[in-house]
Amino acid sequence: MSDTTLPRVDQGAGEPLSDECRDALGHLAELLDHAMSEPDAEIVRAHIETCEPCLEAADVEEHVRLLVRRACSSRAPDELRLRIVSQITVRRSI
Amino acid sequence: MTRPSPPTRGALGGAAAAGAAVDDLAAVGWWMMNATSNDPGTDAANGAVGALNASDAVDVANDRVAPPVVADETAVPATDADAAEAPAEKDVRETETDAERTLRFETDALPHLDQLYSAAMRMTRNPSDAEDLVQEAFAKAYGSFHQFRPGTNLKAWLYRILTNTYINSYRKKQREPLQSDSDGVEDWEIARAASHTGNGLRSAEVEALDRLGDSVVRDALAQLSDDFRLVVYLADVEGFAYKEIAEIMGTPIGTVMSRLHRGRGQLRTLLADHARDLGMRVGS
Repeated sequence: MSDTTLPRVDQGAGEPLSDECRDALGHLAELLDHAMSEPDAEIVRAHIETCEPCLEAADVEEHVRLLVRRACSSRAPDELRLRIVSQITVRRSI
Repeated sequence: MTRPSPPTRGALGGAAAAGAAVDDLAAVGWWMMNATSNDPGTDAANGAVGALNASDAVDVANDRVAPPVVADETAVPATDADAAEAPAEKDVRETETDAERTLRFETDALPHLDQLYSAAMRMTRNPSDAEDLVQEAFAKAYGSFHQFRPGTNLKAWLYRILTNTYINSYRKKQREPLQSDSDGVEDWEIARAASHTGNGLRSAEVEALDRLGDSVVRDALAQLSDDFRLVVYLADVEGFAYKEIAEIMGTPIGTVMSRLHRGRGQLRTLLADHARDLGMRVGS
């Protein structure tokens, strides 16, 4: 990519959005959060299932969320676990 | 995780998630089929939605309104303030001994350690502070465990204690990164409304980020402001519902949704910028 001043919007599919696409993309986060109520969610899902670019947008969004989940998964150090358990045991015995 | 997940995805928050393959994304559309199920109960502690009562949220909110005058940092909001309204069920707390309560704490609360540590890592951004924070939070949780109403949302309760502890003890020590009104979000919002790749990322770019590994995503998250980072974490990693996040953070639900929207937007903008840099280097 040579022209870094290019607006991000122009790097996408290019064609203008239909009202259905606009509505679906506008509700995408809410849909994936399971925060939409039926039948609104069903309308959005029905559109996404039949619209290739929206389906790809949904997949990208899911993929990003998966990356975030994966990146944030840490295991507590064993010493910490031991410290907490012994802390509880000490307090119990007081 | 509270979301419906394909069988290959594994439990979240434990070691399983770390190795979760991304290949199963090829199974397009799994979320569509399951999207109506709000909480499949993959995490038992998450079963009771909205179990924290309103008075807790108010207590937390008060803490946040006047942070310099922290009356008692160890005070954890009581969760049984309205227990009288609940149907007369057997409450194990009325009959158990101290030893039994300790055992119940170890059995019920301790399994959340990895998740709370992961959250603390994202909050403090360093292992030493994260360990101290988690230890302090568990000490408070244990000390207040008699106030926790059995059968309600233990995970959210623990997260609220962790969040309060962080806000009261750690946040003031730390520098704030990105301002809340960072540049880029507005761009993202405009782009979101204007094209299918409005989140700034295309499939190939996300796949490139995927191959780069977790540190890129962690670095991008670390650049978000505290409030945005936490809300993105609670929603996208832990899968809490908006209402639960509002109760954990002691903010109105509208604030949660707005922070989540902006936090996700900032994160995707940062990731997209990173992917573009990468693309320039690779020459694609």
